[in-house]
Amino acid sequence: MNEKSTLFNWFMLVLKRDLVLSFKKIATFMIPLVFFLIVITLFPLALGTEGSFLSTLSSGVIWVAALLSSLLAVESIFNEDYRDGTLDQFLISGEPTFILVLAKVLAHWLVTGAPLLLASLISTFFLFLPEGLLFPLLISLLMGTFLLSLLGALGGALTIGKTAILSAVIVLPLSVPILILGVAVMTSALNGQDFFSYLYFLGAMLAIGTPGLCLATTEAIFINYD
Amino acid sequence: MLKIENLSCQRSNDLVFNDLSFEVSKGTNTEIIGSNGSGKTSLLKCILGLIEKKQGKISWKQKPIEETRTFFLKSCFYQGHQLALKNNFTVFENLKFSHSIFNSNEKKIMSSLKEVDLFEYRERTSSDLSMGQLKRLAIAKWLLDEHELYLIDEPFASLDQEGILLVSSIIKKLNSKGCSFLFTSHTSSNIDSREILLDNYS
Amino acid sequence: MINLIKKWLISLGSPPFFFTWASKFLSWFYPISFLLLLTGLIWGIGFAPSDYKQGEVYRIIFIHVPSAILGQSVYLMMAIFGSICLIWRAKLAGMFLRSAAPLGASFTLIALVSGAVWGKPTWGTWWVWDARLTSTLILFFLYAGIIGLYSSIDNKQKGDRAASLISVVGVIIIPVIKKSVDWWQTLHQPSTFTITSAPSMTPDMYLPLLICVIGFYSILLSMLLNRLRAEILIRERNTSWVQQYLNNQVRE
Repeated sequence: MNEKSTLFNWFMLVLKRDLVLSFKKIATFMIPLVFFLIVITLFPLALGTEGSFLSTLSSGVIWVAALLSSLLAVESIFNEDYRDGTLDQFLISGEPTFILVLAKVLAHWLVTGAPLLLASLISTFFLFLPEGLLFPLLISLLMGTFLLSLLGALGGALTIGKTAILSAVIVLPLSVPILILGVAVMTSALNGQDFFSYLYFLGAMLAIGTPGLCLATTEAIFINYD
Repeated sequence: MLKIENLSCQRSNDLVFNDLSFEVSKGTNTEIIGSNGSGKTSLLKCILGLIEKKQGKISWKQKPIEETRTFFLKSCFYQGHQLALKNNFTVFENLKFSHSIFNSNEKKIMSSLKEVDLFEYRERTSSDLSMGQLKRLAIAKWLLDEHELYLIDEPFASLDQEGILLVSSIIKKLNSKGCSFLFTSHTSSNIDSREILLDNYS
Repeated sequence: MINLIKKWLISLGSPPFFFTWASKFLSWFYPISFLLLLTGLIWGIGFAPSDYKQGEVYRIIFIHVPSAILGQSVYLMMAIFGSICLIWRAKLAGMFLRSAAPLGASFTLIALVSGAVWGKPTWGTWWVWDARLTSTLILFFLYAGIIGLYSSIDNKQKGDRAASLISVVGVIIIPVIKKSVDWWQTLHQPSTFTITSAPSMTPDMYLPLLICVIGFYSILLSMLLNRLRAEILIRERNTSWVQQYLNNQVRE
């Protein structure tokens, strides 16, 4: 080993690698975004187009669509690397797998979660989101989608080689608190109350969830290797 | 350097090999020969820790491998059946993002590509390469850094005569730099190595 | 004394020893657990006094409450044995999860259905989104996910460990789910009735309920041990002691 390898270098290597790979295929970040918009569109199609009615539904529908898009897009995290042997190489590199997982979650979030924020902006027009809810929506989605990427990574690691829908079934019940908190931010903003306390809760979940879920995900990866 | 004592390994509840012992010293080659299913891949994965060993002892530089796992893993290089190459990366990117180098050293990548005769293809997407060229790209990874131990699963599979000569010369060159090889194959190869017949240990 | 207990517990971890012990234990315990269950149910449904407010309908409580308690206990047990499986790689602990998960899911389902049956005559609807029922529904989904996970993995030991991991993660997140659902319900329900609110109980009602709970727990233990025995036979079918046991059974 001639090169100096630090934790940061390892993290950046994995992150850069996953990002460059994702940018090679535009589909990787267009598909979750389009899926999100399709789900949003289904609601007015099914429930009617009356403005004030859709307005009351808007926060909930956007959050449900975000949940579904984040959790169904987890196939890209581990499956391909497992199939072509890259995950083997990562595991025997002697570098900490925890950092590998963290970098992969961040890459996944940058590719699926961050575009979701853009898509949610568009959906505020489709669903007539009430005035003043844009900022709470964006900031709660920002934190919530990262938590969903963490949970999705756990589901993806447990179901390596299986369909994404199995991973979603395992992880969706566990994401109920995120959904409830996220919508709570919106409803309290709608009632003119201070919504920051709910954001602090989301922040606390992020603070505990990031190390905890990354640890669980590394354990899940090792389980698949015997 | 690497010492295996009484190693047994199982794959889905079947014992693949039993009571295997050998030693790999610095700058030498050891060849594991066996038929399909005799456990060649399992042996390599067992040494690396990807599969649990059933019983036996593995030592690296006189210390048990459980204590020096990180040092061992950082000094060795593994190539399995799947070549760990991404179809969407170009040839250059496949080497740039391989884990063995952290600060991408362009000169080293270029020189390894020249040695395996893939320099002209460096900006081509890997999905355009033939099987033989992909194998040579995998070999280019060996040259990015000098590892003390190379664990290669079937280095000569899917290679033509020219490719086999290339691999042999590279192994010889790395031997002279003090690198050891532990590789598997179906039949005896022409490499100057100590041969172990795995079928004797099932 | 403690050493003896420890030794016995450790030897229970070996499948053949456990199998013979469980077979002997169940030969007398299974009938007793049935007896306890029947006693509790018949006493409660047949003989306990009728409630002042709810009349006869409240009797469903003798099925609903024990099932709900069991549904949650089984998940907790799965998390405990799951961590034993992950930390000490105990084979039997992993097999426990496969035996327990369908039982836990069934009891949760019984709790949901009996809750609905209770709700229709008392409150007029088959379902109401109150905190307890919603949490129970989410618990059912968690069970379904675990069962789906281990049945999709071919290698049995890997399936056990994956199920153990998700049970442990789940048991940590379940309090968070409960708290958030509780709090969600206070936001959306103006009234605070809960379908599972038990009527204030006299000892005449309380005693049969207690016996029902004990009966349910005993039948759960019997079914668990029996399912474990079956799982051991399936997993260890290539070993000599299982072959011998099966040959003996055929001969009888």
